[in-house]
Amino acid sequence: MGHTHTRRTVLTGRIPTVEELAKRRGVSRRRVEWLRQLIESFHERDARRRRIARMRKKAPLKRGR
Amino acid sequence: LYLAFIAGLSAFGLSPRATIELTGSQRRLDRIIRLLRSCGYSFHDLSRVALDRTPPATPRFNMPFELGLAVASKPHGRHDWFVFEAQRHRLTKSLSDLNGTDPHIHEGHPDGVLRALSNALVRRRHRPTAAQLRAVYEDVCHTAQTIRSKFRIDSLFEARAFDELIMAGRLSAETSIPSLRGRGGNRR
Repeated sequence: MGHTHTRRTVLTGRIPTVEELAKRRGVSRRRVEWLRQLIESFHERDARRRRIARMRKKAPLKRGR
Repeated sequence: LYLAFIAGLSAFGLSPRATIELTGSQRRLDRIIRLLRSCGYSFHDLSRVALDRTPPATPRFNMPFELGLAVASKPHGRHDWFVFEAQRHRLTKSLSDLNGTDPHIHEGHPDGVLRALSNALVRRRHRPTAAQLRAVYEDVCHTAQTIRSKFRIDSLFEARAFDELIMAGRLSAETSIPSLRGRGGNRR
């Protein structure tokens, strides 16, 4: 189908699971686990940054005498 | 833009394929045709069709050529193709045979790619928001940096790096988008 449209294309078909996708692409379970942990570490880092930013915002300003 | 396409398509639950993953003894063109026929959708970004700096200055025609193959492959089965460009009206100038086809404009920016994909695609139940698409994109970018430094890869345009980025996109999408969470099932 060509696109002379403003309508969106409805994607059909089942979304493969992570395991199915890894098998199809020849990525080992160990590698998938490493990537999962890597992404979790990004999320933890972001959460930590946001927490620190929130705390800084809440903390009263330290002014000189 | 490459990472934005990987992230965006993964967030929509698709499994991106690309010509860079094609290896083997078959002629490259045959492999491309086989790949196109095995896919239900193809996404063609023509924004990088430009003169290079290395003499003789030549534009790379692979992308428009592959788009042509996708257009021609339709009689062999259901295949939806999408054209992406950085600027409005550039396609009219570069490929007037496609007059009447509206390209999706991304303005040469990753956020533009994510927006353009959201304008092009929809699923019945699973509908990632702009913020969720952005979160997946950021994860894919961080993964790309890690892969590059940890494995000393010069280019992300290689089969192995591509596979890992796809997996990272999918894993991130599962974490960031509730409707993708869980195992198996007939999520649509």
